[in-house]
Amino acid sequence: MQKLKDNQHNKSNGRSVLVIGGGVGGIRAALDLAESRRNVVLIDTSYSIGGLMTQLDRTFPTNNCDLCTVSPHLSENTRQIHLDLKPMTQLEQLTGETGNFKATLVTEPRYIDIDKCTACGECHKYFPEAVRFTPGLDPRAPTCMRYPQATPYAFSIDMEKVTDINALKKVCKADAIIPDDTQKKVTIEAASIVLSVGAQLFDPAILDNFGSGQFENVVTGLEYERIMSASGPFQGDLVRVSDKKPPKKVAWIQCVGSRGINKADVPYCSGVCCMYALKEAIVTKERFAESIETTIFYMDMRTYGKDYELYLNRAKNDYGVRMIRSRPHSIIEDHKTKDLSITYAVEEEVLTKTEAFDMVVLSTGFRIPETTIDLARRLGIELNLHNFAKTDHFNPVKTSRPGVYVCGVVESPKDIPETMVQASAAASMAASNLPAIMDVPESENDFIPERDVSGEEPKIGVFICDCGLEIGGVVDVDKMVEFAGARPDVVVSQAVGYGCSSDSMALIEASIKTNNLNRVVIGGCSPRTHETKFQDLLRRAGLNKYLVEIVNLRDQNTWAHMGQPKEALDKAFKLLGIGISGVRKSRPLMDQTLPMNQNALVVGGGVTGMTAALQLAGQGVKVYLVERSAGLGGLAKSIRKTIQGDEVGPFMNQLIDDVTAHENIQVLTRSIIVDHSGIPGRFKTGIQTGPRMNYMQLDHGVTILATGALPNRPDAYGLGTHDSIVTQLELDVLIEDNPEKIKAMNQVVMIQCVGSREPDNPNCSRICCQAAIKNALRIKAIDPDIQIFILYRDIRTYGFQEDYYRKARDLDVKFIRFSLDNKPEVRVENNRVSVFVDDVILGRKIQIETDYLALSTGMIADDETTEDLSMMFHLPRTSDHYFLEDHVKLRPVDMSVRGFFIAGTTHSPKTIQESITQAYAAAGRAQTLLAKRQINLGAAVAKVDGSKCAACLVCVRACPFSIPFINEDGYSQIDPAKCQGCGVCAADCPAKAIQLLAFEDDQIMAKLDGLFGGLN
Amino acid sequence: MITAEQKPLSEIIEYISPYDRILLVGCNECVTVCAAGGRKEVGLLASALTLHFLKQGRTIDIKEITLERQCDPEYVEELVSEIDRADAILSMACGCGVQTIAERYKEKPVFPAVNTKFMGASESQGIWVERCRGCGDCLLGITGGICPVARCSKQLLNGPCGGTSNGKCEIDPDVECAWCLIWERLKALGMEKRYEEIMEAKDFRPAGGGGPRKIIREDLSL
Repeated sequence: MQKLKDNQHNKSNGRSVLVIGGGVGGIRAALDLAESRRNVVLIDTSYSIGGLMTQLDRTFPTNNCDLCTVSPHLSENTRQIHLDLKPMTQLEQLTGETGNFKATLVTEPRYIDIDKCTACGECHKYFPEAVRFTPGLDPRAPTCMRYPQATPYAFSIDMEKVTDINALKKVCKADAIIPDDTQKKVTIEAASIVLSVGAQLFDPAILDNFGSGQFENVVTGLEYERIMSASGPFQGDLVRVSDKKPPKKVAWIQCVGSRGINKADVPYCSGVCCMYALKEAIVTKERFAESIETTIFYMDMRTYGKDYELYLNRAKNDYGVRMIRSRPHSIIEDHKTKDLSITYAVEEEVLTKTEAFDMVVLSTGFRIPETTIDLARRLGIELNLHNFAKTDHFNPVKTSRPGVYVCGVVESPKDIPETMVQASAAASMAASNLPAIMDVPESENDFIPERDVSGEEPKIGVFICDCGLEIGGVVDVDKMVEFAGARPDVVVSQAVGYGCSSDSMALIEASIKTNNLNRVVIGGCSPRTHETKFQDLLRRAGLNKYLVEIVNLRDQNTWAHMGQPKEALDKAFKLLGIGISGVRKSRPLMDQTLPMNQNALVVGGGVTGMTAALQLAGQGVKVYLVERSAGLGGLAKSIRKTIQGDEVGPFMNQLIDDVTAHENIQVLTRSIIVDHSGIPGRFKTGIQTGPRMNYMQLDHGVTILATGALPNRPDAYGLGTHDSIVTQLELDVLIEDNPEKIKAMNQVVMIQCVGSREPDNPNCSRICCQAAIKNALRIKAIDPDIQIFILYRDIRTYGFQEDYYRKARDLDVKFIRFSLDNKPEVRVENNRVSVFVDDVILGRKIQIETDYLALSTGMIADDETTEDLSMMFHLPRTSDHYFLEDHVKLRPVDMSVRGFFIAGTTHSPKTIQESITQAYAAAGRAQTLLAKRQINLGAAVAKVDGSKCAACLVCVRACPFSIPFINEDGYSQIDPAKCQGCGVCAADCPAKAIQLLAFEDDQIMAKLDGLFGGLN
Repeated sequence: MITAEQKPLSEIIEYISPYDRILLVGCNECVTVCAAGGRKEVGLLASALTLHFLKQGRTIDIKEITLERQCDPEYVEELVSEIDRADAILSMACGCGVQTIAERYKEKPVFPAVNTKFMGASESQGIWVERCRGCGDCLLGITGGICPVARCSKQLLNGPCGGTSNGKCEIDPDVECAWCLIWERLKALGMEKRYEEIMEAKDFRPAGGGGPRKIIREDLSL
């Protein structure tokens, strides 16, 4: 499935959504829309999609290789019939309005027909200068092709560099080169636009003090990623650029070009650099050497994301990453050794220090390039003062032009999970300008019916690719054809050149039909990339897709044993023997389906739950909104203003009115969930509702959890003992409702991280820094003479919140830092509150008398609620009791149980805007499931033979998903709808009563027979 | 449930090496549940034996079959069609199963492939513990549901011995003192008085002291 289908649906079905930018955000948005059966056109200026993420080495918090996590998502899209991918394409002009845009797109010539190109690499081999291909990331390819999944899986040609086009044409065995390819211009109709073009990373070469671009051993964060990457310039060896020796001391300098006011600086915080510096430092120690000393120079450590504080603690405590709070001025290079020295000041000491390092990494942040400013002009959307897209404060994916939505870094600096959330939210918003999801007809299955092969003797067809020279250059294809032809039951054995080319595919299809084949073996490349393609081929030919076996002759043989052709041929025989023997036992399997229930259950009636409910209801989905308290609104109802100055009250009232009035939403207040059963797409949830706690059962296909978090109220700093000691939430109300009382004050003290970032609640509550600064600015607006002291550990005003932080400093709000082992002390004497804190600059403890002490207490998970629900719904939680999403990077709103989505503060602490975004994202993700109409249960599920079962309970105990149970007849039963196909039960069953379909014992034994020639 | 463990491979090999055709018989009851002789173990043992003899250059024919229960003659009868093609039978059932087969197929040697251990309960996956000695005269009604015969190392009937320490038995700190457990349990049930009642010396005849035991149910016999 590497090719992009020029599909009929797009053309016939009229309007679509145009997604601009093929990074992870754009891909996610496009996939969400396509999965919801909306037509999408995804354009990108590059010749393959993937964006910045494909260049990263590993991602936190698991330190996995990114390519492996992202590439399935990239290749996924080629399977979508609703998705039209246009690489090398730009938007020229946009006219019209919401629901009725006309977008003019210009595609540059590629000079290669992507339908014919098999990415064999011959052209690249002979004309490396003129041919472009992303997989070239790894010079050791093909044996360790770190990124073989470029989408589209095809080359492109830089025609300016081509000297002899005929020679180039001749090299291409697939005849894919189009010398006279031209620029193409098309106009498409689009209902909405999603902008996801990301941003550039700042190039620090413009700064003369860090020597970037001059000193070889000074690199940027991304360059360091490339150096560590196995697909990078040094094949994954961490070495200095100057002498290719491993470094002993590496330093990171944070905020290079960000959070600054000097030339070339931007004032905002780029939001991601603290985490990537920590990651790079940890990976350096983890993968290269514990002994490498890693030092991070930083201003504030901004690990404000979900569980990011734990990652910081791990870096410090487990890996010994050295953290120095200082912003060094410059780097000096020793001309001979190319070592680098940094002079820095720390606040505890009077004199500066100078220290030498082998390598220095500059943590650079995001910049909006000119091309984006230009694109914004063409799109007709406004930008903010930092040139990022200006968006609605209560809906951060909505731009100033109706119908144009935005996600990812082009909206504001953010990391991958937040980009994914925004992408799903933008997709959901974009879809709301299309006909309701319930009205979109289901795409038809255009395959012919499957032939029943159950009574037939095996008739096997073996087709062997030469893959250009990739296979044929190492082993003799004719000998393999001869070998295969001599196996029992093989009726056809033939060479097919490039098996995945359209000509060969047609040939195989015809051969299946004319020879009445009922089993097929493809000797070619990896099933990982090509199995689906050949499975579809079998379906087209009227055979069940599980009757094909892919023998990996290339990746696992000719690539691995390139220099040993004789042994490789021997191995090829063995591999073919396995495949032929195994396919004999292949059985037609059905991907079972059940009809999908089209209702949604939203748990929690706060701002998040209501937003998600409204969004789904607007798409024709019947929504049950369950809230345990007597009214809607949740925590947001007690907030008066946001940091941007917007009033929350009127917004919430409008939202509550809209939800209550919506005909598709049934609001169930005073309701608690008491039981739950069913499978994804067909859930049954029991609630007790109303003053009398009547029982009621709800049928629904999807569930969105938006149960929120609780405002934390720890027993600290005298909270609750004195009227003048309050939380930021209470101060927010006071400022709005009683400004006279504020006016009467002289001094106000705020303490940050109260009950957060402490051993019993180690995570950062994320919202408190901006909340404190918001309240400080509002107090200053009432009376600029009031003295405000904010006692903090790190100020975490990420992104554009930094603007408010700077403003607070400009307005003379005093910031005093304290550490966890030297916390401030609060004393009440004569009914007056005083705060005692160490001031590092004065070098002594100071006393601040205060009229009001505001404690930034942040949020804490609603342990009782999440525990109950996690038990009921079988969902995992984090150690601090928030719900744990399926994949912290790539699936931030999906839960591990399909059909469950989370949004808002039940995921982790976040602001109202962030909660709203996630609510739209959850609604969007839910729609992708609801759009399916049918639940595909897959084929690889465990099946119990009741007559063999001894009811020993081993499967019941071993199943990681708690699916098997002993039924009324006394044997184990496994619901195929819930089975995840992991096979643990089949392996453990002492009675051999369980088989994993598609991996049954006799199939595996047959393969072993094929390998060992029947020794048993 | 009756628990068992597979015998060392060397011992099994010694039994069967004189023979070329082995009928390997598993049991789908207790020994399946305790993972000693079910269909899976039968397959594993067959493979191990095949490999062993192959390495010695010998091909032996092992026929695998797993009966529903080896201790019932009707099920054992199912071997009739296979028995002629076998030189010896290797049983993976408990001693009851082995003997049922031996009694039915007198002309063929039968060897056990497992050691039958005890009547056990499953504590958790992979762990079985002895809970009953089959003494024929159950005391659990007066000992708070905890058996001193099976669980006290000395089978004491009137409280612990001097070897009890912090609730553990002197034979092994991992073994709980049964009488400690009994006392705690009686206390929890408010039945401390029971503890003071003296139990007389136990009649061990029903426990097997009177020779092989037998149950005859005339109401059921045909």
